[in-house]
Amino acid sequence: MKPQEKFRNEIDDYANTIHAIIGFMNFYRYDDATENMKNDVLVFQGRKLKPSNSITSNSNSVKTSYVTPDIGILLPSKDGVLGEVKRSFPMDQKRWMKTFKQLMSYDGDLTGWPSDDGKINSHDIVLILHQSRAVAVRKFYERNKDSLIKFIRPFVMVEFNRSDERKPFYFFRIALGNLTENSVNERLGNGVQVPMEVFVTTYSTIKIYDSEPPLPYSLELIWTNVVLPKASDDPKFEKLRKNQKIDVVLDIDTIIQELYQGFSFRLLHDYDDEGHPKIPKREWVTRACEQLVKLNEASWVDASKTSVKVFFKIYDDVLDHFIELCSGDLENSGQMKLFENK
Amino acid sequence: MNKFDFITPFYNKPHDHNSLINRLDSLLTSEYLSVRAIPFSSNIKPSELFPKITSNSKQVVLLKANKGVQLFELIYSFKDGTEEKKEKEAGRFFVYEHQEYENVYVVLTIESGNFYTKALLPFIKNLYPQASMTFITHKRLRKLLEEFKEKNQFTDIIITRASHRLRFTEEGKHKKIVPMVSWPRMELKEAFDWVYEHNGWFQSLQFEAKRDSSVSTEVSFSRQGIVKTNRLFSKVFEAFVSPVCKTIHENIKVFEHRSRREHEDLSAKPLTIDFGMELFADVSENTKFIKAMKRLNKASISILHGNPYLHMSVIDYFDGSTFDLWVLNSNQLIIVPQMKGTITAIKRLINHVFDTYAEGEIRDYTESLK
Repeated sequence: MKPQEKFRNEIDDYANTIHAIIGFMNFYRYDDATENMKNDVLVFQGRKLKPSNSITSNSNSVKTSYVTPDIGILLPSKDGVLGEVKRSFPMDQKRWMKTFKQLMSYDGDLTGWPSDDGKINSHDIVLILHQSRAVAVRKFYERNKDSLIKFIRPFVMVEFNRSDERKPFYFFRIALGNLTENSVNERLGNGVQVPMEVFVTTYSTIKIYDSEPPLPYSLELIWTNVVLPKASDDPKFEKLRKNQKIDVVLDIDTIIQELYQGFSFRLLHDYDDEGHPKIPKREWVTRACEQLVKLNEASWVDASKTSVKVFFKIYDDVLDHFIELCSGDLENSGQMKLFENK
Repeated sequence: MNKFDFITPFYNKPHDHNSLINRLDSLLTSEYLSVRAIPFSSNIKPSELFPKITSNSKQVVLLKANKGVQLFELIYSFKDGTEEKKEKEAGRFFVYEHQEYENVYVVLTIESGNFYTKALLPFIKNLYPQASMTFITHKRLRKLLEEFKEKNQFTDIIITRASHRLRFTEEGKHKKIVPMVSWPRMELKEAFDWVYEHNGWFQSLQFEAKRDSSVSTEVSFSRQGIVKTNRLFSKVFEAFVSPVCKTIHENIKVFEHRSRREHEDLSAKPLTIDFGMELFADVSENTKFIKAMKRLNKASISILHGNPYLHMSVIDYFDGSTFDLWVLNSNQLIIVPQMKGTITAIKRLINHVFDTYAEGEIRDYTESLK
């Protein structure tokens, strides 16, 4: 597979995962009676929750002071849901335990929930996975439950799939277990189709979650949503030709803040507290800017790499431009083999 | 015998909204002249904006202003044929501030076609994005012509000259929009049906409005809403210029406040174009649409997903507006303005879709869900 194609697939997978998170969260948020979102259901993504003493390790068997589930839902009953979305599972089943260890790390009295005292009564643990792997992963779980895999709290597997009909939709169905929230359990038990057009506004505003995006996608996000607005303030912008450039100096903090405020799951909650890490993470943004410097599209302003000067230019297809540059860079650096095996 | 000069006193008189239109109407009956009207919108008053647009080849001077009507002079220089030295000429034009619609104006001139083509129209076009004209859909253009005929009891509307463009239809055929000029002397219905059947639109139309065998007026009307006539100006203004101003105003109302940054919660305010038919029923249509969009000048078009659903990211390099475009069902395009989505950029984007792909009905996304 060519690196261009691989990057495009990764970007598609990344977007699919975000769509799956949004879709699942909204089963709890959407009020069928009023056809509006419920204000008293709080959702969060990538929030840091502190485990009790009984949980001491993360999926890498390393002691950790917090867990960061992909999906968090707090209901008015003070019950909750924590979930992890897995678009793909590796071929080697031995590596699947990593995901289950991660899920088991959520199976405890966690604090840091967005409730008054940071605690809740109880919560379900949900693995949301692509339909193509659901049967195999369920069998894996059943083989290992009560031995390697143990859950005290309700554990549920929900399979999802994007249907590529002319009116595309995401399909969700429970593959294992029962959700505590009856209304959601009933709906997902039979399987639900969520037409993409229903959440198009959310898909257009949430473009990152707490997993590092593919590099060309990160570059496109930074370029279009942070570099471009600053460049467009320059009087030269309106008449800028393709062989000309505008220097745009940006702090890494500004890039993080702009993407966090405008394109992260922060948009689904109106509270900001310490439990919420800034997404994108600093190291992702630094890595993306490092790539811009390597590709001669920017230079570091200072040795500490807190500011970057980007050479803004007009490109006919910004995403394609960065996919091509990153692909060329990958081939030139001889990392293709590594990339293929990843 | 010397011909009586009606024009100098006309320019010297103070005009208001009504008197300007009435006097232009009278002037056409006594002089062999045409009036051209260019409706446009701008957030900046022309009396402030125009004089600032000065270059080596053009200068605009405000001569007088009275009750929402201003008279300007545009001095411009140009090379005539092989002459090395530039010639300098000047022409006058009025700006009519619309009484009802804020930020909507009409440029009116009785100067020569040369002044209009070489100086005035390029001047207005170059004001983009500070000022912009509009676009009139095929359906609306036809409706305005039919209403003009009916209201004024003309017996015939005969198309004397038409500039039409055909959108490309099949792979390999009409790869670009094909401009064509013809003088078909067709009746209204016949001409509009022909262009519609050939997946095209009129860039401009020139027609005669007839009562029995006599021609009452000759009018030309462009897709950008520019009007020219040689008689019955008041009626032409009422039938074409005013509705174009209304369209500009309505578009401003639909397109304004779509930038996410304008909303405290940074929420998106999408628009839809409903095509009224299952245009995207076949996935090959996505390729056609992508090709059409790629022809938008001064823009970046990135495809995030191309098949079977369509998701693209668009940058407008005129003012830095950005959009997400989605096709998630076969008869609708969803346009999601991002942090910045200005009225002019939305207008340009939709205009491009209408010109190169297909026309449709513009609606608010939330309305379209009902």
